[in-house]
Amino acid sequence: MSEQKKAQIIEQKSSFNEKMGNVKFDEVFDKTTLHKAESIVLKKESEFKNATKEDYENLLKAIEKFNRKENLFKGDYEELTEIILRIKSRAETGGFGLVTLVAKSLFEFCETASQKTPIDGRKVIRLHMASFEQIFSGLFDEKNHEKAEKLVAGLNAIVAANFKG
Amino acid sequence: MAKIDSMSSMLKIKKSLRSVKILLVEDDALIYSLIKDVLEVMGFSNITYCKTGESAIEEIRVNSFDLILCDWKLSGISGLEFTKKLREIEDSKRYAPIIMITGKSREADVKEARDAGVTEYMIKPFKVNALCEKIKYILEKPRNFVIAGSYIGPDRRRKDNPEAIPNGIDRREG
Repeated sequence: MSEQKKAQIIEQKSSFNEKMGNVKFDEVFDKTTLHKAESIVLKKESEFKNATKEDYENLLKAIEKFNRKENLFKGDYEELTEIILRIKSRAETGGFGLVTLVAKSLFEFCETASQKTPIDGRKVIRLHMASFEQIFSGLFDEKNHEKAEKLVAGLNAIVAANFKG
Repeated sequence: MAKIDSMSSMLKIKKSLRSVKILLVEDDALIYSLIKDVLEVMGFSNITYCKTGESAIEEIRVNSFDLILCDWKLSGISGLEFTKKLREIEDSKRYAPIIMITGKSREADVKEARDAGVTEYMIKPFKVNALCEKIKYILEKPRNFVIAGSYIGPDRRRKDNPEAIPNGIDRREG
């Protein structure tokens, strides 16, 4: 019979807590500091915008390659996840909030499809890519929140329906 | 007199912030530069950068860090594997709080990160208020550290603080 070790619970403060002492967050960071931090994000917007457009170009190339495949395997979806995750992570900071939401839906689809075969993966990808195209070409009014919400809800529903049963 | 006291306390806090050693593990140079600039504006100036989990482990062998910010998807070992390796080090270095910053946002992802020993979980796109929220939890609600057979990391029970996991997905048992 193997000897099972008991769990140790160590009551300790990390060196971070030790260095900072018993201060409250609001005592350390005032509104001005946080406002300055927010302005850093705004200053970086154009860099992130350009990077997102570049990522999108790379996604288009990857999708072209994907579409040329006669038979799709789980690994083909997995290959797409990295670039889609990058778009999801960067787009909103670049001012493309809706792109992040579409990318989130597509990422979740590809991640699931890399484990479970979807009903019609090509169609799901085509619809997401058409949404990206509309947003990047300015044909979709991102400020129309109701329309944007409907678009994302529709894409999410298509993703969910593809894994039913 | 009160003004002098307040100034002296502020100077002390600024000095503490400067002394905090942060390790940032991120393979996206753009996101690294954003997070670094934000941390610097907040007063943290001692920031070390590693592009991979492997180099971060090497860095930890020679240096100690007070706070670690780490991406999940890295080339080479993942942020999760890095977390597990750090927690296994038999040294006080293992206690460093880890904030995982990732685009992965499913409940299962959060649970996986929690089980690897991550302290806080933050979803990309990066947001200043989300980072502040995580630092606030670490500062104001430090948790015990657990060393068990299959788990090494901060106490996963967080009864008093259910909203600490993003999007209200914390449904852990406690």
